[in-house]
Amino acid sequence: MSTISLNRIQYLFSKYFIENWKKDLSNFLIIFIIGGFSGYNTAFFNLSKIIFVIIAFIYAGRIFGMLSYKPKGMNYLLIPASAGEKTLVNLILANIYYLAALYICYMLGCLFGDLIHTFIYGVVFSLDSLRYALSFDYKTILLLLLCESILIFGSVYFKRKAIIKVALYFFCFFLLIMIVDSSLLYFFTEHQNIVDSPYNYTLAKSFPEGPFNLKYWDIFAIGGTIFFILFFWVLSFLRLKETEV
Amino acid sequence: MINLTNIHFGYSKKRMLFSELNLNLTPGHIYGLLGKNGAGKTTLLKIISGLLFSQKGTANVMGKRSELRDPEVLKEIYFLPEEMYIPHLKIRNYAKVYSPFYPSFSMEQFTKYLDEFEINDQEQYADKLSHGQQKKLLISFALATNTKILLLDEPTNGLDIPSKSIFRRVMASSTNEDRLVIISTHQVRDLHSLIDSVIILDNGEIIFNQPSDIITEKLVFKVEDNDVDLKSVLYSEDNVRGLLVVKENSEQLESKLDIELLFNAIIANKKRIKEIFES
Repeated sequence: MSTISLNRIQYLFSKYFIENWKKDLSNFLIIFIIGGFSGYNTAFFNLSKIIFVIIAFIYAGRIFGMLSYKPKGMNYLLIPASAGEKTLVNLILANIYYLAALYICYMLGCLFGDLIHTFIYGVVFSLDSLRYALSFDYKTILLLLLCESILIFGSVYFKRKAIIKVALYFFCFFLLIMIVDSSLLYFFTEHQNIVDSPYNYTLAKSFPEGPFNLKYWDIFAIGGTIFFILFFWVLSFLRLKETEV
Repeated sequence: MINLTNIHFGYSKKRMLFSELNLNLTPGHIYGLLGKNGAGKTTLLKIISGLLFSQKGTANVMGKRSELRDPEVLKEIYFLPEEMYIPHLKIRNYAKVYSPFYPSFSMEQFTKYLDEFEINDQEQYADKLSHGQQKKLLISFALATNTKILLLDEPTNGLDIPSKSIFRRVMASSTNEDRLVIISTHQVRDLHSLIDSVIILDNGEIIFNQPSDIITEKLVFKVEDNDVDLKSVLYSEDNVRGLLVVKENSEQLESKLDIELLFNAIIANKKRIKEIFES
């Protein structure tokens, strides 16, 4: 089966860039400016990181946005490329191209901000803000990719208002997990601990030598995150294959 | 080239649009797909192109199931929907973006068709063109793709009078033995000279599927005086010229196919016309 062709992938990328370069460039400019201001104040620095993540999430949540408008969706689905190629291109766009480009623009913004700061105030040039900007660890990146994969799936599944719907589903899901979790803890541990001091309660206290060894838990969490990232990618592909317009 | 077998399709489970629909179409023809509003013409085109999936039965296009949306098949199908999507691109860039997906696309033909439709400036933004001009652009692109299957949903809607005749001319020049064209339309008079086979869809069924030469062999389309014996008439319609009638062609008379009259005759006298064509 001719599911993957490098030529068609190249055409899809070319189509994307010719159609969207202006829009992307304006977003990159915004993040560059935000990066430029982020070095002066810790609160603003944290806020700039949040804005960075929000822009990345909005992009991922709209990656299959063409399906929300019938004629656009028809046009997209009838482009002679397989669902695998279309999904792959969109995954690369959302998870590599856009994140990398945003990140580079953000860092350049930080660097530019530092330079301007040095020139205006005559202070010694430092790369403090750039250092902070580079401080995304691999766990954060994995979490970012997980959220993005869910949003990408949301964008192909819900078609319209995907981001809001995914957020609502997330909220309901975690609420349910919290209820189940609390109920389990309530029934399997001493009731008093939870009732008297729910916030001080820790798993380590209840299971000092038990199954929740934090080292293994870490490995399990990373493995689980990678599994779910791949799971939602596959789910997005299957959903795109089944999409009717 | 297109084989639909026992197609069942409905937008809701309670009301099926197609039940056991069968259709077999071969290349080298321009099929006119006719039907009342809501008969399922657009749905049928969507099933053929793989945009909708039949709930039962199989839709095979060029030997592959259409719902797979196989790129090898899609590169040989161009579907021009009634409701178009045009991205914010210059005409030149539109061709640059979409043509690589169609290996037989000819830039020369594209420019030629655009010129015929009097769209000479390819530096214009395609989405800023008027509705009619956007349609002309997409028709030019569709023809220049040189795909084996061309699905056109109401192609003349929005076209001005001169453009309709240009459309007929370019369509006629671009068809060949390997190409299959389906034109879904209400504007039969616009495409009268173009269509060489008529498919009529009614209540989710293909009630008629015949080539023009067989139609004129079996039926005769005439203008009669108002005192004609109506017993031999399958369908009649008052007109300023007299009475337009459709009769069985038992005397092997030559007449010009009137698709609109044929459509009305079939809807009004389905059973009798079916018998004539089966005999």
